[in-house]
Amino acid sequence: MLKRLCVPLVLVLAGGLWAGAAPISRNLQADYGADPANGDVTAMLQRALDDVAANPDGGTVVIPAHAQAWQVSRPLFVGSPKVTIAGEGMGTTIRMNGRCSLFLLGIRDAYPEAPISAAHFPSVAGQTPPVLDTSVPRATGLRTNDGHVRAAGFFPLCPFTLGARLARYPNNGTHYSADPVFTVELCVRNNGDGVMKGVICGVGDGPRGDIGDPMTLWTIDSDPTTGAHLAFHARVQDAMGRESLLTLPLATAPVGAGTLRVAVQLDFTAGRACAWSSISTVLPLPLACTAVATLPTGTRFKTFAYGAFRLGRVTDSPFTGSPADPLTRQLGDWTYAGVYLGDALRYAWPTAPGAAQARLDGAAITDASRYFTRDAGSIALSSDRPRDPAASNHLVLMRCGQRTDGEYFYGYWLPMRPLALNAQGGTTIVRNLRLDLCAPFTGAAIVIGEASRVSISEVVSCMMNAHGISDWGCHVPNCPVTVTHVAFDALEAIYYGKSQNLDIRQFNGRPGWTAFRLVGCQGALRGMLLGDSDNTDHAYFMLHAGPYGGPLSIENICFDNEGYENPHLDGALFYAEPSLHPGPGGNALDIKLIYDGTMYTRLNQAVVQLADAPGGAVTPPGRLTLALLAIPNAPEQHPACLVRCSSTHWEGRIEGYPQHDMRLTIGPIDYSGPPGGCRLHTYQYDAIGLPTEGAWLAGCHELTIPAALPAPGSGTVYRCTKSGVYGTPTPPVWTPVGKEAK
Amino acid sequence: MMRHLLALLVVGCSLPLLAAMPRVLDITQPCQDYAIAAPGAAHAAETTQAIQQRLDYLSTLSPTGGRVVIPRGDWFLTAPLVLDQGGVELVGAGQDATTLQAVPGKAAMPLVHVAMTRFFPYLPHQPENWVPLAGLLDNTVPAGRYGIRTYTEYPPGGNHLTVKATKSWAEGTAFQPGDAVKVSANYSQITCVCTAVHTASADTRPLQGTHWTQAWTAKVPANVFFSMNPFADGALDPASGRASNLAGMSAYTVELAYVNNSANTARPVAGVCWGEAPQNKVWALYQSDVDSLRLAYNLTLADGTPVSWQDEVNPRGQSPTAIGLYRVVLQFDFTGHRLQAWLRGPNNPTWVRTLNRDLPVGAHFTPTQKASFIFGGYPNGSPYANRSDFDVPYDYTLCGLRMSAVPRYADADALTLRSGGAPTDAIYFANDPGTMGLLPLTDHGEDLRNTGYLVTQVLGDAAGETGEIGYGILWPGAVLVGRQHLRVSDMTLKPGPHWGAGIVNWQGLDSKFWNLTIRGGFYAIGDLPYGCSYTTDIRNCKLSGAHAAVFTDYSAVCLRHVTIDPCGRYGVLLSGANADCDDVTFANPVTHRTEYYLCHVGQTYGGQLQFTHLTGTAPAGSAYPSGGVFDFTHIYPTLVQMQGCRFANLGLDAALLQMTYSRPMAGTAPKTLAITDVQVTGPRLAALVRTDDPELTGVIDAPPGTYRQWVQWLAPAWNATATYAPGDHVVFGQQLYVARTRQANHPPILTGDTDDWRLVRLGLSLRMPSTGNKP
Repeated sequence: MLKRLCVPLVLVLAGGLWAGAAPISRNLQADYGADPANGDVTAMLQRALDDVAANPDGGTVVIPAHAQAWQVSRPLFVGSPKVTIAGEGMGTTIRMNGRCSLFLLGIRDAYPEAPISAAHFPSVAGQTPPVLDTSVPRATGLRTNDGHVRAAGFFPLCPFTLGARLARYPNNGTHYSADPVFTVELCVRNNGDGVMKGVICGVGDGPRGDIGDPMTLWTIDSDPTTGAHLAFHARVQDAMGRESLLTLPLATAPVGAGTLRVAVQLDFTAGRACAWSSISTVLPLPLACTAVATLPTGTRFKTFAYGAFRLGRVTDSPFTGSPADPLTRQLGDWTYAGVYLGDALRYAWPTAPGAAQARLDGAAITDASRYFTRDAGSIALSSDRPRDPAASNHLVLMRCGQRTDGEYFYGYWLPMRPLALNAQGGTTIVRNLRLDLCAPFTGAAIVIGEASRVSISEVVSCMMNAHGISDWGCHVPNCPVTVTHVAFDALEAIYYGKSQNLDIRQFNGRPGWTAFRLVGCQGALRGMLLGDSDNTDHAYFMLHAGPYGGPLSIENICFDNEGYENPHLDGALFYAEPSLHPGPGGNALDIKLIYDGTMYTRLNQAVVQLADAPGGAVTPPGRLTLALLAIPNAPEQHPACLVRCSSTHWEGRIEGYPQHDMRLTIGPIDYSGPPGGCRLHTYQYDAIGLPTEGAWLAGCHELTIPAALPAPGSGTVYRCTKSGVYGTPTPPVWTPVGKEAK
Repeated sequence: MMRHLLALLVVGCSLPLLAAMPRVLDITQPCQDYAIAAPGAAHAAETTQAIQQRLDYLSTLSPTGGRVVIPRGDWFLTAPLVLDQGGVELVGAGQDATTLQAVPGKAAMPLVHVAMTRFFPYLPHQPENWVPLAGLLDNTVPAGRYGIRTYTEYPPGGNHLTVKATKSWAEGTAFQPGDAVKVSANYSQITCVCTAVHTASADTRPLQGTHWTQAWTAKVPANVFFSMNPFADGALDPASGRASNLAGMSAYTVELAYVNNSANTARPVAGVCWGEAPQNKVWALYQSDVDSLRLAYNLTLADGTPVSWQDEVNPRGQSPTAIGLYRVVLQFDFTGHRLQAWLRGPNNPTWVRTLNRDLPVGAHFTPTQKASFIFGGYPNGSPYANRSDFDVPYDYTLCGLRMSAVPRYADADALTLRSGGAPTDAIYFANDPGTMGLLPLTDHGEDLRNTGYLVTQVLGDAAGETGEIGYGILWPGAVLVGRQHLRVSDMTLKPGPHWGAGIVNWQGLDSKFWNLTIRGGFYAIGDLPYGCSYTTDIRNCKLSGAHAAVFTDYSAVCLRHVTIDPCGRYGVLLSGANADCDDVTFANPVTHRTEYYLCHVGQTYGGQLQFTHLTGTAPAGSAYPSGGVFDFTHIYPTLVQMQGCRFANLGLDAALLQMTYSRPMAGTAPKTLAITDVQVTGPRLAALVRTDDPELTGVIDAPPGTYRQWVQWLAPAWNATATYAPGDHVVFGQQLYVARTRQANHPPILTGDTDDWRLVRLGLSLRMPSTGNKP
């Protein structure tokens, strides 16, 4: 029987070989004549990648070691999942001179089924009827509909994404939530005869795509059904961290054909906000104030996870969905003529709605000054080269201000198309390379898109990009991603994953605002040294709810801040939400062998913070296992608690933490949910006595005190049977429940 | 014809073409005017040069570096290779294809230095660091010897430039000759003295500005450092085929000659040490602040009691700080129970016995797990032991050094050789029977480019490798720099057999040692102390070192798929380290009489230890590893997880785990054990856990019936005639007690605590495997 099966198998395999469908190898230097001494090799490297990708069985692009770095200037598209990019060790350096990501795995340069055309990039200067005023002699717009293909803008890992303050080089270390001032200006023409409905622009990373999605930070949008009530919305939080929605009305009636101009100015320091708008079908009109608001002291943008800046729709995917998607279909025919973000005040504060807009410096207001002036802390779509058609079909340039020469960043004008998830199989491999990205704080060294399986090994990234390894959110369900022996530094997160099945080992890095930001991921992470992270602001591991997910194991992690205090870390080492559909393995989170090396906290920090999915989404319960912690013994290094939780949807088991000198100022569990709702349990098998401080919850704690001369079964087990706090009139009560099992 | 063409090509490959050179350099292929390697011992010099030249070239491209490829073949070296800049890789053709070893006569040298700096561009060694000995020592000294001076000034030319005023450096400040600033450099300070009137600018910023040497002179200290050789680790113990680590020596003689070049007080001269604390010394000779030359030493008495003693070495009333030549002999005779020292200083025309005391019967040097020998630097075990914080940095010239494993001198006031007669200065260069090692002092500054920091050492028969050459390092101040992303892989290294190392790592960041076979040497892969190497990744390797296959210090190390066969004194020696070991096999503990498969020495770092799928195999009836699987002292917060491990035939007196804490630094660090799914087969062990740690906690799943005791206390039994000080441990009624107060004759009370004694309650939960790890 076996022989019978084997014969056809052999024939099939042999047939494949006979047909010549075998992986191929292309050497960037030998086969394409690339020479680092001759400058930029972007085109040649892209051609090599395309050639290998065109082979049905893929193959390898070898990038030889060379005395000079291989210089590239724009993203490299790896459109086939069967491509291996192989260097020759540390001698192979690829230097990215552009302000963008380097390798886009699973992203193609063009999509024949939904091609981007020149009509998506119309001129918007000197037009009749006018779009921009005559102060702008030349400008190219971004059009959502060329009559065939709908498209929208996607601007990941750039100042639009991460906050305007990022534009102020070299001061980079913050994002929207720390911007004291935020200004956004927008000019968009409605080309069609209908009204503008839904989201016009914004920042977010959630599936719903509007401000109702907790993963959306801010939008300019109108009622998706009627187009009425155009407004600026932002998720903000007050000084106590309480979140609310800030709404600044821009127009009550739906916006029909014509050009819409919007300006919004927020000053969190002074506690003021206002908005202006105008709608013109003929000439640019002055903007009139539509809203004036007072912000409570301490208000700021909410502490935000991460999300790209988008034009047209705000979603969690770079491709804005199927043309059949009703939300997609409502995207009209719009042309974006000017977009500006800044963190400097531009306009005088109006006293009441209806007042005319006036600049603080008294200068005249023109479209050039609104959208194309690179003043301090500004970023704007470039007026002269918004697109780089020679480089790619859908790359879009934007320009960052402050520097007189401007800095170009890359965004993408991507077609609406369904994702071809996992269509081809195969593994995309990147290995044995040194990446030197010369544009700090933007882009990612490696982006994972529509990849079916990814392996990254022996890769070192030497500059602090926004992300080390990033994910554009194509949500290939549980896409296997193996990462070993790599080192990355990053501004936002050294690893950003969505819906991935991870196998990560020996990952060293310098975290940014966080170390690992994982959305609905599962798998195993073992062996990491995370250090020098004085920018990390909430948690080193941010584990967000996502559409997929599953059991996630994290072990042997050393947080080593070289003895420096992190002044920002106010959350926990780990922050976790349960995923929406974790599969049969459930939302199991297993954290083990965590070593807080030389990190000073002082900020009421927990080891693990558990939360519900954003927006109260219903998820399968989370199951935490937390074991084996080592926390330094210096008082300033003690966490406040092991687990902080207000959710009743998490259950958990915490064990293997040292009692000696581990002074938890709150207690093992900091629970603030409904009384009696805590489903977390601590088990300490090696207690040296009953506790004497902290808060303890009835039914949540069990201690075993071994005998003075340890032997199996000699310990006495106690349970906390009455909640209480030591040092108060109602301390907890412990009840012996018998001997420990042998 | 082809050869001529190649030669032309090589000559034509001038500097402007450097940038076009490849970054994967085969040592057998022409490249620039570099040497071309050839297999075999006869071509060792060319091979060494060929490899090092290519490594040096790639170092100039750091941090991006490149790869030197060593093809299939047996390759020989005349000097250690150095990967001294980031991104440099040394790659062979496979473990079974490429072999690197020392040329005969240099068996004791380390083969590859990783993340070290061979030359120090901004504070370079200078010819002045080597001083001709002619005229310094007597005329019996063979010609061509050079003393090693631990102080120079850079740019060279001065000699202890006078400091008139100490200032702070800031742009715009006016400086006059004689003004001095202390410049922080690499965790140290260098004193720079102004040599020209100038106003401070970035261009002349000391040690940093482009033209700083036009305005400043730096006082550059240095010290001589030895590790992985007999100076640091004692004579060879023939029975175990590894170092005696001094504790096993019945006699120990040090003959030392040095010049004190500057008046100063309170500074060290030499010693064998492994840390900051006073008890972390085997011995140290130092000038104290009371104008005396003292010998501090640590012994273990016959009953196991450690003692730290000090004795004067110079005659009363005579300053040891006078400038001039000092000759010192230290002789520990543990068999004859006598410690003696003789001194001949600038004020002593003849030898004077300045120390003569009895040693207790059964006393021996305190045991060490790791140690360094340092001359002219602070004796803390670090190679980086000298700095110029002091107004007058240590300034010695090392003129002669020999260590022996025999008592060389008669017990008499006059210094008399046991073989008869008075010694001459030729003793320092005589490789007589009983010699562990000596410095031939044949290195000299004119050959600086080739020798770099190396200090040649000649081994004697007490080291087991008579006449073989090892190396120490003349280590300058302020050169502590981490190097990133270095790699050695795919080859076999043959160090040793007893000394040196396959790979020496120091300050390596993200070093990769993959697919290697390294059997021999003191370590197969070893850090220099205080290395702060993280992360060191060792995988798919077959290793063995006489002391340990792997040693790492202040570091994070990952071992995966590693076989250690045979085990040395230890399989893996960790010191203040974090370790992640998975699939590590320890085999043959008999050859070197292994003490523990794993040993962790407590330091102020490390302690995150994960051991999964370890296997230890020994032949039936083996007495080794004699101590057990894991010996652990801790200071820092500690987690030890051991899971899925299998050990067979541990020694009869072994414990699975020995857990102790380091006194007096420890006692407050949280620590916990989690031992699950560990199986021990063979004879019953002495204990599951052997400890003196009153704060040990954890959970251990232990197979029943394998241990004669669950917990064995490492403390003496209470003695009615003894006096106890606070903190003393005693065992009474099978329980461990710690003294609270100073007292005598008050026994602990079996039922618990008293005002005098605290009953130790370990938070150690022991479980049978059938119950699992969870209730």
